[in-house]
Amino acid sequence: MRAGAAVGALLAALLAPTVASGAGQTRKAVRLTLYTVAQSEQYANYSDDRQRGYGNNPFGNFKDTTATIKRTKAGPFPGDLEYFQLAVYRDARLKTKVGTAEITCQFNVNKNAFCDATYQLNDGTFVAAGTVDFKSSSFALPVTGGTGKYFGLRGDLESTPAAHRAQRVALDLS
Amino acid sequence: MLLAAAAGSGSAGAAATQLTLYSRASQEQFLNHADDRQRGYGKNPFGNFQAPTATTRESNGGPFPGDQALFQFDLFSGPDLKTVAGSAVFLCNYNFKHHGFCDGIYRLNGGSLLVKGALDFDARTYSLAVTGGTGKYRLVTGSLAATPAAKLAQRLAISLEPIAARPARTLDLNSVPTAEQFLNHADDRQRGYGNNPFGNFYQAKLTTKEQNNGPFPGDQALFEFNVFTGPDLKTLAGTSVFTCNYGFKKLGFCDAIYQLSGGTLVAAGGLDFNANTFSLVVTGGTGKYRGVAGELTASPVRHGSQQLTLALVG
Repeated sequence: MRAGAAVGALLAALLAPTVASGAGQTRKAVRLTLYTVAQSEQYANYSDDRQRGYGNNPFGNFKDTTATIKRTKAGPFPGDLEYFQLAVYRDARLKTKVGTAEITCQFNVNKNAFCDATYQLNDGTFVAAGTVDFKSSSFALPVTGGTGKYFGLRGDLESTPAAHRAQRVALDLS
Repeated sequence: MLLAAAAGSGSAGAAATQLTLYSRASQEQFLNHADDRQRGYGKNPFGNFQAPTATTRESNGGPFPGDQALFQFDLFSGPDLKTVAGSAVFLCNYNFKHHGFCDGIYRLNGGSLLVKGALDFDARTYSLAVTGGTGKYRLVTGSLAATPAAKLAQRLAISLEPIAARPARTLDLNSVPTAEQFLNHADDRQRGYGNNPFGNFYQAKLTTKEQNNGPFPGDQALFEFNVFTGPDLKTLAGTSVFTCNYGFKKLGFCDAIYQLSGGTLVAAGGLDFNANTFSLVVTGGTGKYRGVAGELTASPVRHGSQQLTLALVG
């Protein structure tokens, strides 16, 4: 690890002045509107995998003593997964396809899920992650990074229902 | 490990730093969720889309949507794979056509880097977004490009760019767990399955001895918390949920979301489930936390609560 430490120090030295000099730099903002349509879906029902707490955890070794689900109620239940593949279009009429998106969601409580999303467009990729309420028809996610045209950008996206069973995705990145 | 400054090559206009590493897979755990697949269930915010046809023909080659895989890597500074530079873990959720969405954490000397993105498991190359880091890699963003190298390794070209300096702030909170759900995937574990872009690594021996204490690679746990403004736990500031996937040696990868008054904070990172402290990378937010980055550190206080310190910029 000695070599790693030396390189780490060099990296820190390189990054530190850049951070400082970055104070006056302005990033080029990207505001983009896309339209997505779901193409494929897969649900994963983990009902046979649920059990009470097991092993240590750094949350005060918390152990839940009550069941988190009532099977008479409708799911999805905590731990279940759902996958979506979406086509991405530039226009509301869904004529010009500019990429695809994949969204992986794991349900927690109250039909909320934590979703990882990646949008693979012709000019680059950006990733987003956050909570989605599956009782709602719209959602907002933080955009945490990207490649290509979206390298080094972050911001958020807002998805709202549009015509033709599509969602309008408004991106605001800087 | 090769390091060179590539001034101004980033599209965002800031100076970029190039880091080159070599990784080689050392462990793998596949989770076959064939018994868990079913058609659409419940509503969703994607036009309430329900797939009308089965997505899998299990007689064809997998992996299939919903399957998962964990990979552990040794990291080296050079292509001769002699000088260890750290380790890495990937948690991949397969979706459609042998594609997966992977969360990765690179544990290097002095800090860690988080990566995220889509992988084609039939390809030999991949690129991922660097979403943040801890320690000396705190407040960086960038991308990672992996290409095949000798000895079944991958050459990792990592472009890092400091997040532009913006006003810094610190947020002090306290959290108390309120609910937990463990997912025991013992019936889902199997040896490596299908291609992968990690030298087509295939683990020949078992990664678990189930008579020992778990959790085991591939198990999952969900935790829900109440979040308070102070250590007296009297004023509620919001709630949070952790989604944790266990990897090897009881190290887990957690996605965390804090739903606070005025906005949401998203964090992610590795947790040692035998420790009583942890730190996560804050990767973004919504509302008044839009565009923030930083680091969250947690330490135990009393009544089973954790003190959270969030160092944020933006």
